[in-house]
Amino acid sequence: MRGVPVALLMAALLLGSDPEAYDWRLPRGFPKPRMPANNPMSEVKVQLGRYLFYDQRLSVNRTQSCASCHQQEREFADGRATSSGATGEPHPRSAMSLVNVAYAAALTWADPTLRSLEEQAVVPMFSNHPVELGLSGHERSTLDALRAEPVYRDLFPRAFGESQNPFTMVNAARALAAFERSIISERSPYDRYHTGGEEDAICESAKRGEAVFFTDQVAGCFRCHGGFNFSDAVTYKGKEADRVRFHNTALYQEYPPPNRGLFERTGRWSDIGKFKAPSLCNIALTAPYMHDGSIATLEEVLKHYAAGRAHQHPNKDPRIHKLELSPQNRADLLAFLRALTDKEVLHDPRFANPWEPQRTSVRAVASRRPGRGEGQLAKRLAADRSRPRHLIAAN
Amino acid sequence: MAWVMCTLLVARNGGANPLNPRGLTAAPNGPFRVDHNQILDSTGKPFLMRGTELIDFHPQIDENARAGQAFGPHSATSLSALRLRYNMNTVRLPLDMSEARDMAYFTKLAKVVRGANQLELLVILAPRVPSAGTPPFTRAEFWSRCAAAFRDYPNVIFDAFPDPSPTMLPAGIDAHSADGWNTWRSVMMPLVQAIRATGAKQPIILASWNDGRMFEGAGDALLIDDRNIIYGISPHYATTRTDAARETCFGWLARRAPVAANGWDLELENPAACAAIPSDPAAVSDMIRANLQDLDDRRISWTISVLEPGKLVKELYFFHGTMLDSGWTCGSGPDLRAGLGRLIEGYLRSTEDRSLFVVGAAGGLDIPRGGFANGYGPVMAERDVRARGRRLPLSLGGITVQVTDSAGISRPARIFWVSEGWGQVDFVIPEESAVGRARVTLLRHDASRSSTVITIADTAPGFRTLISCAGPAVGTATQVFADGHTFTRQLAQCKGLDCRAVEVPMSKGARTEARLLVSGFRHAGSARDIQVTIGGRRVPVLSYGPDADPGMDQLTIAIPPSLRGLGEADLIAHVSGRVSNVVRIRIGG
Repeated sequence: MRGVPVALLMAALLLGSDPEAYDWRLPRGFPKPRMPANNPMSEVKVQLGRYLFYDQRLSVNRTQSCASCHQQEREFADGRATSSGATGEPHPRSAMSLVNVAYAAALTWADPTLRSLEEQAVVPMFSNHPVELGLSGHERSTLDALRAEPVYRDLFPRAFGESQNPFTMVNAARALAAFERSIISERSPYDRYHTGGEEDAICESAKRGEAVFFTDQVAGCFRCHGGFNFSDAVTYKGKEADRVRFHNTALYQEYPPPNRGLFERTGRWSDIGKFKAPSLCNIALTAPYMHDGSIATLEEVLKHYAAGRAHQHPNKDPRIHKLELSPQNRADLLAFLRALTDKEVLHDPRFANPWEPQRTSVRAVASRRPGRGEGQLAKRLAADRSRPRHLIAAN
Repeated sequence: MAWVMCTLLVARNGGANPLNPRGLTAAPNGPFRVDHNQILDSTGKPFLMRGTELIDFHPQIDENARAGQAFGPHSATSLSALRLRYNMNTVRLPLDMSEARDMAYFTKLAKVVRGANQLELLVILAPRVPSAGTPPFTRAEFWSRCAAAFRDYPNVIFDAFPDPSPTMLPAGIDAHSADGWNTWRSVMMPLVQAIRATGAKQPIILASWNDGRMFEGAGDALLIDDRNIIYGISPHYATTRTDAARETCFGWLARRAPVAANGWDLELENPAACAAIPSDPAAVSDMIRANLQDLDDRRISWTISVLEPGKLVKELYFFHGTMLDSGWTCGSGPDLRAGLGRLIEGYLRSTEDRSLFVVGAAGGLDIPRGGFANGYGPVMAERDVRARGRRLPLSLGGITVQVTDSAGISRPARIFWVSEGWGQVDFVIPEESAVGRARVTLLRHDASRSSTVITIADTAPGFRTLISCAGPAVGTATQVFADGHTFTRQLAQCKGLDCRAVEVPMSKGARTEARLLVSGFRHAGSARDIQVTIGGRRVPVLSYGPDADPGMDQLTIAIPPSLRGLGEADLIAHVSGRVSNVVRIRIGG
């Protein structure tokens, strides 16, 4: 009899490292995200990633973290047209929201080669053109700083227990990727209406706007922003690998360097001005819009598409036609787009800054004995899970 | 006239209820008679008119190219769309009395009436004049001729004097006083007598004053000494807004005599009428539905809107219903997209505005078991995808379709095509489904679903076409010569959406057959149960049955030499009492 609890404990530990065991808590309609075999999801890894995400020690001058440009209260974007790095260097493009980034088939605005969050995470850490976090050449000191932090002394070994030396930048990137992958928005009014069957979750205007959005002869937005994640650059577990499509929306007649879209990667003239169609989940909260943040409001985005040939470009996607909407159609379409807003993501403690004392007593947790710390962490996770949910997870 | 009555009714009836379907409106089966407050057909069943108005009949217009083509406003194609797609059973046909000078006029009018009757539509003949104040004797003279011409048409009703105006009253007489109603009777009685003098026994509609107060104040003085009178009303939104107003204007009468409402629409182009309706499309839709339901509850017949672009339909081609969803600007001129069409269509089909809308090959409510069905609406598949091969899949583009029949058994349907957005899903009704009301449920890969109610039938004849259940028939024509050699050609040719009927060769010395791609014929009892006409002339059915393509049947007919040189004509089928859609075929010389 004594062997049974031990066996259960072993099974639980094994389960913890099993990627299939990670509970995505996905509602109806959301498939399981794809994840690399060498970085399975685990609760402890997500927690580690969350601490790293908000840790300014991950910048050269300790002034910025990932969260500087991906702020929870702004749907994990930053509300600015273009961002700037830790050293003040301006960036050419707008910071993309990380909400539902787990489903992104390509990352950033126009890079078809960057397909995993693990690869992408090291770009801001080490890039020099422009400098973002500016860690290039500071790897050792950064890792020393992480090793010195009690929270990390607890979490790194537990997240990467199989490694002889868990404190590596690669593992830090993996943990960041795991956390980013966990930021899934699925409680928008439209989600509740469409997959949850809550007829009154959205207003009549938004219901009309849904038809406008999904009808070719009216707006036809769905051709580039379709599917559960409202983007055509989507991947998930079991989905056939598609070629990611990039689109020229004729935002400009001449796209200035270094903002020429896919061209910056391929060098093909036919790729000038082509960018990824971003997810429209929470789009009402991620202004300003377009790759360079050049359009301030959703209303103005519709005006851009209504302008039709105002900006003609030889690479313009043929699916983009002059948007001829009546005032009612326009109002309804905007109501629909606003119904894609999941405000719970803004306040979800699972994604909040863990270093803030009012959020959690992590330092206290980490300073305790590992066993007790694990217990506290488990309690917090359990508390997070007990939050009311509108949709029932299908997976 | 703009009419949306009572805002209080909105809460009671927010929309059509697919769980309480109205089913197919009864086909007219005259002669009709009035019994108390009901109109009874020849079998004694109560009949309610549900229809729309056609554009005015003018012999010269109906002879010109516009009306003579497949999609003219009085064409069989258009009338068929009203019956099958809109589930209507009545059309109101305005006439211009000043044109009815000779019998040639009535001969041409009879052609339109017969066409409508053949397609299961009752016709209300409603004469009017371009200007007000036509002397009654002129109208009586008109009815003497018109009723004589149509007295043997059991599925025709006469509207004696649409929209009589109180302006014809002597000064100082209130139209709704006893004197006013006595005058009204004195205007109407000669018309009734003129009609009855011809021997015509059909019901006659006598319309109320057109001042918005309708039969207010009429009382017993109103009643006309004739057994077959229907009382006509034209409610206005601006004046008939409450239950009390409806009761005063016509509610009391509807309990004593049959009442028919007609001529009402939103009149969005009329600033004053338009201003009387809410600006929110959802609010207008709710009120219109509430009013339709109120008329249903009172057992009042109605015709609504007009079969005209910008009124009931957006165009006379696909016959897509106008919508309120895109909004409107009061008095801004004609907007061909804005109107009540989709709302009426949804109401009479018991579908929700933004749910699935499923039709058979004929475009109608009845869908044959084993036949194909087209569903329109929020399909939202993973991508546009067409099934390949003849073994159709049960899942396509992340979409599955389930058909739950009247016995409560759910079966997956095989699917031809799915659209990525709001578009189309084409599928086959499982052959083994029980006939009767059924539910079609579309399930998406994201676990969301949409559903609607259909009626599964054994036979529901439909000709396959390449444009929205109308236009040229699809199939082949084959000539078989005496020496045994054959010559085959297609019946239709399309360039984009422009489809033309290809001439069927009719060489002398050869017999000609047409093999038509159809649906809903396979369960016909025998070839004798299938009646096919080309240009109104019956042609022999040689064979029928399932085709190699899933969900499709074939119907092979002989083209008799007597049709040689007919040109383009309507092709219509009746199977076991059910009428098909109207398609076109071109018979050569």
